[in-house]
Amino acid sequence: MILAGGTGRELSVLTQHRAKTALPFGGRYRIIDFCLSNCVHSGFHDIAVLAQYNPKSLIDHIKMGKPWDLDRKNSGVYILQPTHHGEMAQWYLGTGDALYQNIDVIRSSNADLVLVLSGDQVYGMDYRRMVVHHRSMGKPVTIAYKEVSPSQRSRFGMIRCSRRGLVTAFQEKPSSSPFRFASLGIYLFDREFLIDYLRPERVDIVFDIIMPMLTRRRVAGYEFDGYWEDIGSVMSYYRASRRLLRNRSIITDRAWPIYTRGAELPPASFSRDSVVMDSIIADGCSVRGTVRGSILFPGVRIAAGATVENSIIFSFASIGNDAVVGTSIIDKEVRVGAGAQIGERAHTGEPDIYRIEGIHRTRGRGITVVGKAARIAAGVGVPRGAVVEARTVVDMRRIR
Amino acid sequence: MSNPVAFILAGGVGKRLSLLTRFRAKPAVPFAGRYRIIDFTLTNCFRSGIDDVFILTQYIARSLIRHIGIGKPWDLDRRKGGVHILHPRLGFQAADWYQGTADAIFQNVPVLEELDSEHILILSGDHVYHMDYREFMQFHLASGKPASVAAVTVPRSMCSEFGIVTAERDGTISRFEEKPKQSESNLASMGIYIFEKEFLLRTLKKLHTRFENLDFGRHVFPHLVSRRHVAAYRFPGYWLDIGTLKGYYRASLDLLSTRPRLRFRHDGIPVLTVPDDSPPLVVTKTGRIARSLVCNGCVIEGEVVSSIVSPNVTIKRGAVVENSIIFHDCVIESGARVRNAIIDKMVTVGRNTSVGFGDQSVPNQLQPLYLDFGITLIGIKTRIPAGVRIGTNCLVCGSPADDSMHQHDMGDGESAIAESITL
Repeated sequence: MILAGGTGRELSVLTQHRAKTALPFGGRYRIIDFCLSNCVHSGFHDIAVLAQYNPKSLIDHIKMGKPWDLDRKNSGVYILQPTHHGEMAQWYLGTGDALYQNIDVIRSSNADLVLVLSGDQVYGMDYRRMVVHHRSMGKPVTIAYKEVSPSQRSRFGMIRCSRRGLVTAFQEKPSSSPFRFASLGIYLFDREFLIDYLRPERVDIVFDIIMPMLTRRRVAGYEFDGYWEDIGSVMSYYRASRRLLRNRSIITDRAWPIYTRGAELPPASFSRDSVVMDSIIADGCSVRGTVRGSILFPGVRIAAGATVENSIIFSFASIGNDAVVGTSIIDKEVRVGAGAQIGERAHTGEPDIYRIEGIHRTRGRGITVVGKAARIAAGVGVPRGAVVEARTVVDMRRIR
Repeated sequence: MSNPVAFILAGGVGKRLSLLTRFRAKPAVPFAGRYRIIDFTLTNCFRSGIDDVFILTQYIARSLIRHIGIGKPWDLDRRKGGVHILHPRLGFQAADWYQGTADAIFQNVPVLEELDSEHILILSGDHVYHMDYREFMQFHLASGKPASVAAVTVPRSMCSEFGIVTAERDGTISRFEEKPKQSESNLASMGIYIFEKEFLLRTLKKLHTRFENLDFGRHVFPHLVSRRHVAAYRFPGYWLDIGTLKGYYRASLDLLSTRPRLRFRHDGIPVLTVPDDSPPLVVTKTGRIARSLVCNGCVIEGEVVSSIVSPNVTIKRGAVVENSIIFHDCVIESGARVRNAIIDKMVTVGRNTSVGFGDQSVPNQLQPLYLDFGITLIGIKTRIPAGVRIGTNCLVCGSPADDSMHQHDMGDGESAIAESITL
């Protein structure tokens, strides 16, 4: 059961028109590809994706599950959205409620275990090892965890794990925590136990299912020490992407390939004057300018004289001649006009771009985000830290 | 009007492509990085809404058949129709190896007879072009002839390589000369034909008793043209018949020009091929790419200039690749220099080795007719050790077990072919 209903509010305009799990990552993937690839490599072929926020992007991507070999006769991938069941009709109120509303799916399965995953994490994990651990512990629930540094602890559910491998305490996003281990939001349940335990009032997996069980010592822990990134905010997304340039193993491991829905695009092409280094570049890109420390998704065009640095550019965006893009995330199909400057420090005396509707200043630390299909006119400066909503037309004539 | 059924001739040996076709059929030769030559024809079938595609194979078809699979990339995985491989076979009705292009069709007469379609489109798996066969079909129907040939104008100097047709104003072909030394016309048959099915069956049954190795260009068309049964459809687009190694190399490098004659998209439809699960291309801090096409899965730590690099190639730090075509899964070790070379799949070029530097005027001693234009060709899975120098117009091919055979430098025009491999 892949939980994919989060709104991803902290991802700003990147989730304005898409589910968080459908967010592009790593040059050609979407975040959910990692979860789905882990499932099929681990031999899980019966997969439900529980979606409710902007599901179209997710449905378009998954469709029948062909790229993951999940278009199967008797199993495969199903997208489950909240539906009307007679008198009961409501949105998924929480993670536990999403499971409860689909209890019939769990009941009709003949598996003896239910693996509950978050669709918004980037990692490579062989769930079979967790299953082996779960069976050896003999507890009805196992939680996967990983050690995180003290500064990170406020972002996660922190757990304490006893010497015998039992989870004995759980703090959800504590301001500070003595516990070293973060729950990865990956749970393995005995199916019969889960069916008995799910109730309409148990809305949240952590608060209403896991926490009450701790005192009865029925929750086992499973330590995972591989690559794992949680994509919660613009900053964590940006940092995880930049770290990928240093450590590419999650996408380059030939024994654990990440499958995705591929585009039908020609090889990336580079002009005589192109300068490219320290970057990940997908097929269909055309590079005539300079690209450094960046990730380009399929079909991106970088015109002659343009410079893209420390930025992430989604599919089919185009950067015009002599434009400059730095420390930015540029969404799909954005068009940046010739000579425009994105993510540079604003000069005094420039017209106030924030007077345009659809452009906001962020509290963030200097990552500029331009939403899907926005148009930045030639010569316009979008200062560092600005957020441009999807489809906004940024043209200085509108404010002069 | 029913849709025509396509028959793709994909059995040719392609000997003039030297080592590239030693272990694979010509239509399966990689082209433009991630494609194989037959992708262009199969994409045209998709473009033209053709529901039934028969592929006639003969020469080493394994990689071709694996590539085509059930035809999914071209939407040919159908309940009804779809893609079918017709390989020569022994059977109840006497059959044999295909002896010629028309003989290959003749040996499949029972297949043709079962088809509902009234028209047969005959294609070649060796061509690179974008064409909507529906336009050709409309021309064919309007012409009122039982057979049509698609044709392009070619430079007069190249007429001796093609079937040359002379067409009257209404399109009727009045002359058909196979590879003429001299000709009035420079309209070349593309080897792409539409026939009315019943007419084709009658013609093949009549002619096969007269000619042992029945060929469209040499036998069928001269016969039909003399009876004024054939019309010529002038195809206005770019068309490439990959015949020779030189042609292959030139056509590949033309893709790097500022205005390449071949586009990867035509009428909004991209070239369709088998999906590729490789990660995106990675260029490291030491990498440099200029004027090149580079595919997914490559890791570029060295320098790539004016080259075409297929998926999953690693070019290590300090290595330089120039004016070359590198197929899938190769490794160019650090400090190696590769220039004017075609390197087949899964080749390793050792550290500090140089390939392709030398006097271009010395033709290859083994295959002087195919390899005399200043490139070096390395065959599939060859491992070239560290620190050797391999000149130009060289042929190198060996399995890993045969490493010892090219431990030393090779002069221009020399060859090193493992004993187990006959050319």
